[in-house]
Amino acid sequence: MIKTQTALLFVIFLVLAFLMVFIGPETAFSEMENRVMQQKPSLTLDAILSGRFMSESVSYIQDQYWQRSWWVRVKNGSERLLGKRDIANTYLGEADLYTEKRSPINEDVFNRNLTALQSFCKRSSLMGLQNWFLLVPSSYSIYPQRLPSFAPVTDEGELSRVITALDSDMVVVDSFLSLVSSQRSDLYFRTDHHWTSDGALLAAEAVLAAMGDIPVGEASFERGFITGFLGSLYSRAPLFGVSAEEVTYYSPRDLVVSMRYGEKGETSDSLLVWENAGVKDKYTLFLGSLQPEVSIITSAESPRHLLILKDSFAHPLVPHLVPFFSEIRLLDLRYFRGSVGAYLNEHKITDVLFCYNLSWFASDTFFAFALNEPD
Amino acid sequence: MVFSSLVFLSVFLPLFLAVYYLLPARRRNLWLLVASLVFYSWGEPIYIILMVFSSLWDYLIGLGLARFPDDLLRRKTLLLLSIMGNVLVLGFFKYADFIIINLNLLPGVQIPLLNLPLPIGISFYTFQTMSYTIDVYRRNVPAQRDFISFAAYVTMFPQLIAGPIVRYIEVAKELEDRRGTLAQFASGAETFTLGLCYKVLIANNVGILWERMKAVPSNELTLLSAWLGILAFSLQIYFDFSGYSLMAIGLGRILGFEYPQNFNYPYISQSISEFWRRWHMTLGNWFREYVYIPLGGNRKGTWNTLRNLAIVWILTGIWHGASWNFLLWGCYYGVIIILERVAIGGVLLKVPRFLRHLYTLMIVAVGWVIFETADPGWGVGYLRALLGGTGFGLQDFYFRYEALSFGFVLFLGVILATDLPEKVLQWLSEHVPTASGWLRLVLMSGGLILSLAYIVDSGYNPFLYLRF
Repeated sequence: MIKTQTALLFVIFLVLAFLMVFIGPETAFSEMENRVMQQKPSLTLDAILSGRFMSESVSYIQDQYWQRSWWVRVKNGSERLLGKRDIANTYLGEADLYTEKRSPINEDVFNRNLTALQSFCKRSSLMGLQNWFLLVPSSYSIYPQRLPSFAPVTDEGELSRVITALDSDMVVVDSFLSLVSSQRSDLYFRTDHHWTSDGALLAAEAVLAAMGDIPVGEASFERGFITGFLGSLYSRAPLFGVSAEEVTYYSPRDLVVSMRYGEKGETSDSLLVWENAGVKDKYTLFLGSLQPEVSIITSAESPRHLLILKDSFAHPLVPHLVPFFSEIRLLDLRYFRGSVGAYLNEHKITDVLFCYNLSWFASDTFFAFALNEPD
Repeated sequence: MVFSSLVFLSVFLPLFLAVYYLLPARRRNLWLLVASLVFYSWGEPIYIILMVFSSLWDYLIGLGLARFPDDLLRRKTLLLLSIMGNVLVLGFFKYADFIIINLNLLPGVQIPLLNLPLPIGISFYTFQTMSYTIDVYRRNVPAQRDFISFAAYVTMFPQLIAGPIVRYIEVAKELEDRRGTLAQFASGAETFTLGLCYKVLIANNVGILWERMKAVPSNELTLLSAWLGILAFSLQIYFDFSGYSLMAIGLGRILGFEYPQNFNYPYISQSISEFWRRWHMTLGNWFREYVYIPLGGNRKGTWNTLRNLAIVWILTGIWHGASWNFLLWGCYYGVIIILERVAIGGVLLKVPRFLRHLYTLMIVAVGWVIFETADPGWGVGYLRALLGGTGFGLQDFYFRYEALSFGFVLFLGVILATDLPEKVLQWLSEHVPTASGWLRLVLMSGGLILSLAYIVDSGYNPFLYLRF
């Protein structure tokens, strides 16, 4: 009796497993994984002999499997039940609180970056420029309770102390205190490693205070939000029952801006890239995504031109700086292939703001390379 | 192709089984052969030639042995040709570079490396074909006249890649005539599922922990981290290897073959000799049958016995891989087994059971460190860490984090490595047969679904510009 059922169960399993390869529409691009999916491989003698047919069909079966993100969630859920506290380099906190898990920092890279930073600031202050460094903590430094207990993380307080104690011609602003003392719980996304507009606002106020400027206040901004954001950490380790987040934005009310952004140099009269409100990675609402350079001309009456050397944490910060600079330019040193020194001259920069997440700055292997001037 | 992949579970196996059971019995060996070649070619299209050559070689030698039943000289020559052919193929593809690297250490020697990829399963199928010619030579089994059946035996996909090492004599009858009953199918399906769960749910999982522990410089590990790591590896290699064997045995049974058992709860052993009677049993049997006993076994005095044991253990070590640590690993076990035979065996019998068990597990754990040592500095450091000699203390945050993350899976692995679950299921099936039948079905469904989820997940590769 049971024998028949066992055999039947296995046969049904095999039939279903087979069908799941071929049913359902073929996906061309997966937003969750942000990559092109394998299409049906062509069966030719050449493809078989070179082994291409075999490897492509393996990818095809994986990529086009029926409801694969459901299966991934089943797997992640069961791992969590078994006590796993990190999946795919992502710490799982309580409920749907995600934190990025990074490998320990490399002291050599960190020291190299510090040296490059020092010599750059020396050069630029000789040119009469002001240098600022905004340190952006990771979410776990502000919300340690989001981490599973005993989770090994880099001590960003220590990194901050090293950078602050550095003998250099720059003013270091650590946004840690402003963020922590606000005691708000919405300064970082739950499902993404970035901070929210509100986190960036607090940091902007700290920077402006250090610059001697007085923040213009929330009334000068239009505050709005878009919904349905599931961030990059969720994409790495999707789980059942994670609710989508709102992405809040601030947009200056009375100032006119014109922005050039993106790899093709698109232009816009807003700091928000509205077509990205519909994509999966809604954080790209802020100034777009991967790009070497963004330039913003504002109607602010100010002689000052700001250059921000940054990672993506800088993006929601920009609206709050707009009232104080007639030009704001952002360079991403991972993609910018020119001389930063020449850029300073060319665009009559008066202030340089470094804006980096601490852990990322300590492990960014592009930074020193891009910042050092050839002799 | 591996069993724990989507392409195998979702495409190869359903299609293969459908055709297999639609064909009349006499056509099934041909289909098994064709399918096995496709299975093999998914990873190594080129080395098919080697495998076909190997099959043909021993098939012809088998025919030759059948042709000259009384000519001892010819028979010996043929047997020698078979053994030499297999040993040369194995030696060339598996050990050539190892030999070259060591020769190059001599002054003035500079031989370029061959850098050949190791043909998948070569250590298994050369041993299987040798078992055939040796047994035909010994007249334990008649020569196989049908090449298709013989090639199907050599290339048979269930055990092609990772064993068990099925001796020809064990399946000779089934190659000619096998039923494939419903009971066999059901039991095979259950065994396959269990093996799949072993591999996918346990071995891969605890393997992550071992990878993490290996990533820490071994001279910085705390005492408990080192033990946690080696526990993880002990479970990983057991569930990986025995899982693969169970999948092979299950698939064999689905097709109507009864392959020999390969693992019998090795970690419950109370001595190292017992451990090796329970671990990779088909390899041990092969060496006993074709090396140890022909050398005289233990019947020719103490010294010859010790010599024979030494030979078997050196071969066992080097069979696992072409590098010094495997050789050392084999010698380590050879020495301990000889010691158990001549000295400590008697002492062991007098100490309490749990001490015998502890002794065995400690020896095995240290053995796994040697097994995993690619760099001597790492290995020495790890052994020191197991003794608490790194100066990093008993435990740290990192240990506590990983112990909490993996504790339950490790616990599950430890329980499943004993015969307790089997005893419980046995008891249930005797006392509440209906309920236990349904329980098995539920467990099997759950195991299949979860394993499939893990396998689908392994192809989930988010490509994220995490720091755009």
